[in-house]
Amino acid sequence: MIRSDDVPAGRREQPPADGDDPALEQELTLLELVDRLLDKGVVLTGDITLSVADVDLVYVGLRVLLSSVEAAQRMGQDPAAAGPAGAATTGGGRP
Amino acid sequence: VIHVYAILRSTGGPDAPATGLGDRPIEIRPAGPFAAAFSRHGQANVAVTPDNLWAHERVVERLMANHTVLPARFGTALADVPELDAALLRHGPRLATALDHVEGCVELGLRALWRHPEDALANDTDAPPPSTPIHAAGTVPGTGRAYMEARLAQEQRSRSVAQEAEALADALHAPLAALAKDSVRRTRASEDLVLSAAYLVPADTVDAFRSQVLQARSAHGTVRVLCTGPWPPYHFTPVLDLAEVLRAG
Repeated sequence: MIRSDDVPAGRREQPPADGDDPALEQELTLLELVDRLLDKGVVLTGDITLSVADVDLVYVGLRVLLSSVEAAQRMGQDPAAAGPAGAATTGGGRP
Repeated sequence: VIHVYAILRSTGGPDAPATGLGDRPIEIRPAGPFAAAFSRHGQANVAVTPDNLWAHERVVERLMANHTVLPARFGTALADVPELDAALLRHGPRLATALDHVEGCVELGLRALWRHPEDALANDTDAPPPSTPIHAAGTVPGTGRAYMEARLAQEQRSRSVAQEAEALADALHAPLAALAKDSVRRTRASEDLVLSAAYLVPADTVDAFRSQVLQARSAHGTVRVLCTGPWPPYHFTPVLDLAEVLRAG
């Protein structure tokens, strides 16, 4: 979970709710950040390469299909060709 | 390789933060009516860590303070500046329309967590919910009929709780959506999460929106409401044509 000093002041939940658990709020704030940065925002390029826990992942297009770089290369250098088989889908695109 | 943070209206001298991911300097590239904020890196991949996510976010927020921005998805990397120029030119009309839509607005996020009071009580006491029958009244426990009737009763109750949650979500969402220029309700990801939504709110309406959130908390005491923001308008950026993006990329 993110440390409290990692959360910019303007991003903390406002206004605070009486009796709410600050740890839960920080966890949810990080979830809100992840939801936005990894699933929303303008995509200008066909694939995005991310690294999670030292594994490079090719992040294809707008439907958020993830495949390891190794798997994509096995499928002939074309990440899109990796397809759903052997790839992890992390969620749909826009609702 | 360049990492893109946001597209913004080209307004002369944008106030960009000094550094972004990996403490690399932020550069602003004007391209026609737009500009793009980016940093140069040795490799395309970027680690998904809280520090890196916040580093990206801080750059976009700093730009948002003085400009209309469309945040780029984390990890958006292009080979070089000419490729960036080409992408901005290619998607110009969609980007312009989106910038018009979000101008003067910020995004606020809302998550509402709720458990049916009987479920919450059962969780606290480790006892079955009072309305969950072990066997239906008038049936003999242990018989097939008792089992099926109990299953039916559980199903009916589960449907009733779902309807209650949906009504609660509507009651929370409607007054907030009325204050927003646009809104997006996300799919309900878990039973406890009755509402997850993003609102595009005019900057001068943010205080009214927060007051409405406080009112919702008072009116629905059993619901935990988390309101975050202001965020850059991530949920209100255009979906560019995938085939075209892939062809060009």
